[in-house]
Amino acid sequence: MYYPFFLAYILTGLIIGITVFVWALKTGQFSDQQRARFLALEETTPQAPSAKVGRDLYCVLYLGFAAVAASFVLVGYALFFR
Amino acid sequence: MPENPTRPDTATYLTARGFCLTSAAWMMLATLVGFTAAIELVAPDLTGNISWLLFSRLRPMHVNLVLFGFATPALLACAFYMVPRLLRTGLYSERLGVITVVLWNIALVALVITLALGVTQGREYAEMIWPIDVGIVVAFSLIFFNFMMTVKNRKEKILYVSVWYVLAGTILTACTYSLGNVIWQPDSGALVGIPDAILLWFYGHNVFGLLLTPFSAAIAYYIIPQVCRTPLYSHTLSLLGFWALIVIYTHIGTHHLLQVPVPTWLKVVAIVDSIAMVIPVMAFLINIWYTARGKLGLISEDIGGKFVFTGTIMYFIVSIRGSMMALPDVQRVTHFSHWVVGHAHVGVLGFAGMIALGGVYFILPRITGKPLYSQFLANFQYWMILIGVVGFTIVLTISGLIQGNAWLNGETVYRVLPQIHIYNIVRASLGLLIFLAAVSGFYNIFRSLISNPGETS
Ligand code: HEM
Repeated sequence: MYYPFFLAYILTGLIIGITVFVWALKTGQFSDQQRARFLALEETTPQAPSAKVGRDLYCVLYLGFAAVAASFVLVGYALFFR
Repeated sequence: MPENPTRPDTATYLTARGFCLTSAAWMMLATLVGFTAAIELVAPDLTGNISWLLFSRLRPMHVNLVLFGFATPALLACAFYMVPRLLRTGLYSERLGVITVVLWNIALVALVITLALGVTQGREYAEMIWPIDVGIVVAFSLIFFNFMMTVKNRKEKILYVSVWYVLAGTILTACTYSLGNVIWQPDSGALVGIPDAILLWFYGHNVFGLLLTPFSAAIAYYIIPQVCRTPLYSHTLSLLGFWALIVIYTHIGTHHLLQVPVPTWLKVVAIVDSIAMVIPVMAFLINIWYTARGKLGLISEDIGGKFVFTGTIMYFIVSIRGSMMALPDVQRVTHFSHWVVGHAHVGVLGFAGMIALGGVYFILPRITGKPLYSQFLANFQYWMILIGVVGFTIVLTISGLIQGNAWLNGETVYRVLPQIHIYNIVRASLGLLIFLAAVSGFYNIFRSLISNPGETS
């Protein structure tokens, strides 16, 4: 019986992937691409004003840890309830 | 939490320094072990019955040390330098970073001791026993946390493509490493039967695809524009490549199992996506090469840039070759032969290793504020590795085809071995070059970081 685990992992991965993508879309990661080209060239990059994006990032962090937690739950299930 | 310089230029880069030294030191042992194993292929009786020098113990030691001792730490060193700079802030916690470096080295020492003693879980790239697995997963989790908090403190709103790659590479490795090492079965570290093979190669391929490749791509995207003093050709294309890599690479592990009774639909997915890998690969290469167009002079003058650019050419070779190897008709000949070993060396040493070293040589002067200890030694290392890896590719491809054809035709092993003997000799000699390169590289990196006589700029 490994399908439930595989499926759970695939789903978790998919959900996190899509969420991160939507986050990126919403916070304008795909906008201003002309300026983004210059980011590796440190000297020539104008200093950007500091951005307030804290809450979104906590969400992403949270999702990352949710994945780890999901793994632990699965592990616990596999160890104790199978 | 701890010290948190808001300006990147006040940083101490202790973590980056630590990972540079880690990589340089372990590269010597990794290549020495590989060299010894190569000699044993020429002279199998050389080390008699000394148990910890048997080929079966040296091989996993070599492979794991190259992956986790040499390549990954060098890539991480560069990431720890690059990520804060790209985000225009300081690293969240240098102290946490240093703890990670220490943990990493403890895991590597344990890796060498256990594998030398034959304490292994016997699954390729997942040989390490459970406590070491846990150490590695914790290390990756700490790194991810450190990077995420740096992202949170950032002054630059847009995440440059390199940051995307590094973040994804770190967290995905933490996840797939746990999964591939079946970390919930501490004793065996394995499932049972075919599902285990599928899981193992899902993970095994992710070591290259979701660890080495994203980090290497991140470094190339960071260094090539700087060396060429020109903006990236297209940031949109780079993001397209990133998402394509994430979507496609995760599906192709089963191309390692085409001769195994895994479900056919899974093989089909793996083969189709192996060909589709052309999309992220070419999105990356077109971007880098267009950025570098007309600037090869600048690249050849910068030792870091030179390593990195050569790495991108190797990426082209390894990927085209890889897509071909995933075709069942091709793999019927090449599987279980030196051909695959050739591919592995172009990938891990030619592509990821070259870019990792390029990253180290690029950041060293910047983190120490002094010129590299020796340009000559760095160039020496470049040429030794280039000659070594191109040579490997040629001899291993030839001997792989001899082996593969012989097997296909039902030849007996004892008639084939003499035919490939000469190639094994050449291969071992080339290994010596690479080992020498590792030693000179260690000396150069050590002197650049510690007791560097150069003037502070
Ligand atoms: C588009 C890219 C790639 C494709 C389609 C691809 C495909 C393959 C295939 C089909 C095999 C299995 C061969 C066999 O067992 O018969 C293989 C093995 C291997 N590949 Fe790749 N490859 C790619 C890129 C890379 C890269 C970039 C690296 C390294 C950074 C790499 C490292 C390896 C290694 C180490 C093996 C040997 C695995 C073993 O121990 O059996 N590959 N690759």
